[in-house]
Amino acid sequence: MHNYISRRQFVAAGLTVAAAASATAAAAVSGERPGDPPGLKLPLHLALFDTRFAAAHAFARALAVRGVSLAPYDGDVTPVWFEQLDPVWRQYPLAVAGLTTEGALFCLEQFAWDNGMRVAYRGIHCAAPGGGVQHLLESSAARPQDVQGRLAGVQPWPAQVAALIAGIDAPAAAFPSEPRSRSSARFHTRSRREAPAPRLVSWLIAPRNWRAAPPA
Amino acid sequence: MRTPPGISPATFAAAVSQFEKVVGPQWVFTRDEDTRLYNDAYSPFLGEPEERWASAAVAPATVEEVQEIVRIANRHSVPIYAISTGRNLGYGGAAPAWSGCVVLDLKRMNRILEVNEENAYALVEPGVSYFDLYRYIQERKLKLWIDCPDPGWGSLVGNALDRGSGYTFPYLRNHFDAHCGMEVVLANGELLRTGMGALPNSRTWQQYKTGFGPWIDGLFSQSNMGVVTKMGFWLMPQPEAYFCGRVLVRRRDDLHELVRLITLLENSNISSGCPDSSSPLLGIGSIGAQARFLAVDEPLPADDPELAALRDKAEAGDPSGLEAYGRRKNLAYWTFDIKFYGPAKVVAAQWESAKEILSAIPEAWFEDQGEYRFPLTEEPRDHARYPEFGIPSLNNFSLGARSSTNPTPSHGHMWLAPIIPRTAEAIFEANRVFGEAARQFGIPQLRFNLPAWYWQRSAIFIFGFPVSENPAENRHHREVFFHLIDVAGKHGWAEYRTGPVFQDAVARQFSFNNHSLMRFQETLKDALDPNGILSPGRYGIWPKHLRKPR
Repeated sequence: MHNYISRRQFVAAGLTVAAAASATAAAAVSGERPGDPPGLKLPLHLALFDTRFAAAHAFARALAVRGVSLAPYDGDVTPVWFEQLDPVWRQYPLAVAGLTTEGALFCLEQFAWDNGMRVAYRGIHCAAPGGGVQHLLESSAARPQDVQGRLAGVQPWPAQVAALIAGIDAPAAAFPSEPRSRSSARFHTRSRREAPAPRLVSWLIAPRNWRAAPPA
Repeated sequence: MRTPPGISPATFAAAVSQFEKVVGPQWVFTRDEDTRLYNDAYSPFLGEPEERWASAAVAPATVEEVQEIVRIANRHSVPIYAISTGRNLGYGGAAPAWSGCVVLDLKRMNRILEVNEENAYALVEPGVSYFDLYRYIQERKLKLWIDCPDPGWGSLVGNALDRGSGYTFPYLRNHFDAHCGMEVVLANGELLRTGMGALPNSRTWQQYKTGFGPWIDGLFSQSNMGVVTKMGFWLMPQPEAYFCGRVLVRRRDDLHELVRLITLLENSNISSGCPDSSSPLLGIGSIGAQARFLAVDEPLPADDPELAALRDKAEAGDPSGLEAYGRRKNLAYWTFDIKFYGPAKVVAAQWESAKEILSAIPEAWFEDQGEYRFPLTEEPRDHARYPEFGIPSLNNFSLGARSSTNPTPSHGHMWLAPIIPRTAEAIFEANRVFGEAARQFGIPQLRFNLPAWYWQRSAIFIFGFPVSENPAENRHHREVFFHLIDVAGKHGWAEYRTGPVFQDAVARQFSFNNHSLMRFQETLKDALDPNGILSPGRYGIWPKHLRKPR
């Protein structure tokens, strides 16, 4: 899309995350934070977040401190896809994460398929009937316990979800795309933050064979 | 690996192996994980046994590879189903009309072969999306616009062949009308060029549509007579200005004169963009307003209980109370947005002329909705106008759908889209007929509605039926959909386009003289594709061995 659109949006949203990102520059080099699981990490090219939602800002901050570049947008995912993702994905299948609406992910997932990538992780986050936030996360049979452990921490859930995504070391194995190999798990967190409305989705799009992909 | 019906595993394996030799094994997909991506994200049979599925997919990069694949398919009688990008969601997506076909995925054929700025045309392959062509034009700073649908992520070729529409000049927003020249691979692998393209060393393939002799391009649209591998399109010179003016009228019966005059303005080339209508009193938003609502998640204004009661009375035939309410609140019964492209002076004069003509409607009043100059120097105030400026967008994409990791979506949709005459009489009649028919099935959402005005000489109703994870609900909606197809046919209306699930039912409506049109199409199909390998069942055209008695 026209440059002026993304530039304006980027400047506006970038202010939110700049402080956090610069304060932790050392950690950003490795892309890891204390407590992140050890092992070879999937390099994340970008983190998309919908600036209309506070939870998305928190998610983005948590990835920014791990050195992930941010791609904010205001409801319409078109500029981010057109200017930042499509030109890169045409060259390499690079991993991207996000906390967005389901509509935005629906579009991006279709584009991802065309570029040899899949949604490797997906978590739905919506208001729980009794307050707090309900999370439905898809993973392999071995992962829900890990996820539960992470979401039981003291951090707000968007930051924990970001840590979960940043800690994924082999998405193809951890989150197989064959439905029969997947399982889902429901969790509930109490949050001082307002529950997301509409429901939001955290996700990771990753190359099918990410270890074979060129470095980000 | 599943095999197409009637094809032995050994035969299929042999065909797949030969496909791999042509395109490389990495471009032949047989694992369920991959073939599932070709399912219709909005399938009306979501999760049911009748849901359409692909046995495999093969993605060639050149026309020569397409020719070779078609020859292999013919040798083994393996059915193939060609898609450009498969993004016609709501109308079938990438899923084959006949389950078990190998999807011939043309996304890798994504070359923009020519863009001519002086004469405003382009020649592209099927994998070129509206975004691709837009990017090409922007990067080269060409003073050209594309005409794109919304969302704009689909293929120019695919959308034109499916007869989709956009928003600019009438002859451009009808995407099939906007094409000029095709290249087609026939079922025997032979290559054909239409129009002036049949002339060796032709220099006017994208400049003169009909060539010499019968003009056959329509045979390859909404059909299965060949695989289109190139297509020319006429583009729009970048205008100096765009202006949108709104006419508002007071009374229900003003719609008769309003539609007549809007049509006159368009057919006289006084207005040039796609009109858009609404009814503030009935609570019917324009297409643009609906797009805005979808994009920004703004709540719709709450209805006044008095207004709701008056609407019911108006729908029952007495609009006087609603009209009086409108006068009191200064709300229009009907509005039309009229769009103009061209030099600023011309556009201003056209709007003045339009107002003069529309002033024939008593009490009509007018509002300026805004002028834009091009190239844009600032972000448009209204994102919903992107397609009107030839800018592809995903802006209005907020409908959930199934995906590989979201197999039980909250909803998708299937479009019922009958063409009706461009008159107020037809609008009132269609509303009455469809409303009554739907209410018989307990479908409340088909209350009074206004059509869209994409086509210059007709109107088109577009009803979206939700697709959910609930099979019983989907079954019910399919029943209503089929019923409304029949009801429309009985009244002389039919869909301009539909998904594979409903294509036979719509095709059956075109039954003049004992289905002479379909019999003609079948004669051609049998002659051109005797083994019936190309997209069996697409738009109701079946090869002989799969044909059922009418």
